[in-house]
Amino acid sequence: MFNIFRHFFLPHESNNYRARILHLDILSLILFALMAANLYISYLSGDLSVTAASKNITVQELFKLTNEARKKYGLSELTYSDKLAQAATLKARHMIENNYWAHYAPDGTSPWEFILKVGYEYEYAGENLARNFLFSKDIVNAWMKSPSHRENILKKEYTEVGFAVEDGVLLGKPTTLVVQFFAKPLFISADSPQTKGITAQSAPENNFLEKKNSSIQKVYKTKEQSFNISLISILFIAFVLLADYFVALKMNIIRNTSHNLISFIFLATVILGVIIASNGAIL
Amino acid sequence: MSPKKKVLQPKVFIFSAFSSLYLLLVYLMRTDKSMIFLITLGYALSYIIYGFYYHIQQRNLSLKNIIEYVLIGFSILFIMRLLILNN
Repeated sequence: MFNIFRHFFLPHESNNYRARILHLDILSLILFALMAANLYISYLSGDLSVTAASKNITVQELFKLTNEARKKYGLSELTYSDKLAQAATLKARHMIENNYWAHYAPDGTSPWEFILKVGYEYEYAGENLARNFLFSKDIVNAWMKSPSHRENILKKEYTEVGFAVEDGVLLGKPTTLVVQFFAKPLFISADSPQTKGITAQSAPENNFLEKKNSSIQKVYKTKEQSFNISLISILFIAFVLLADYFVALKMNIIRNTSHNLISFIFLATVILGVIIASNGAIL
Repeated sequence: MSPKKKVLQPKVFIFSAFSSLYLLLVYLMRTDKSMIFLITLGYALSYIIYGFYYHIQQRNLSLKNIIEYVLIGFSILFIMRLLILNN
């Protein structure tokens, strides 16, 4: 077992003093696998006509993660409100059309005006914004790390939530905008879909979230898995390079190969870059 | 020359400084995924060029080395495309 490990990951006589995984044929195979993964993901994304589905941000996931965060703190789950989702969509489109990144529009329009515009009368209301994140979980994590956004998510007065995920050009850059509206309705009518009796899970299935089908979920999961597998693979190659470098140095092996330490720095830097790039901005 | 001196080659520091610059640019452009891809393309090209330069100086540039740098550099570009542009 150790011999196999050594053959693949450490420089030794059996692999011509270069970890087998760093040989050109294996590296070519990795490149080929990445090309295939690219084509597969492009094919999956091309199948979908819903713009927001081409991103890894879905309303279902945001809703699920928001309620999971509340549950962790012993709070009741929020009910999905179609009206709040409509208000969030109006706000997102207003931001894109008027080119601003703020809770209050340059013309003074407040977030609450969008809620009132769709006929939703509230007792309490709150808004969280995010843009250019890659994944839903990163958005909710970023909100939970920010005291003011966390306060919104964990406010016990709120009973309902609505989301909008909109693509557009904001401040001259292609942007995926996420608007989250929280509220507690002023009046709760008996036949309203926002009635307390309706569970958090069943409400979305009956209205706004119905649009999201299983293929979107499939793409979401495939992309998230690709993201994790790619990161782990590159991290693994980086550490094999580093181990190969130090073992060769210790054993005084003179080889004509690429500069392992530079390759390690290169790979490690890009991994950090990917982690930085996967985070957007919240407001 | 002792092994430790080999680790502390100035070229490694120069490349590390360049890597820090790359991270800074990625941080500044983090909301613009297309720009991040272009910055990564530039960084990958600089890695490949650095590799060629290093081996030319060492007088041991071979086809195998060239392919190694190109494979590692392009792998990263495919990953960036997979992670940034497709998402």
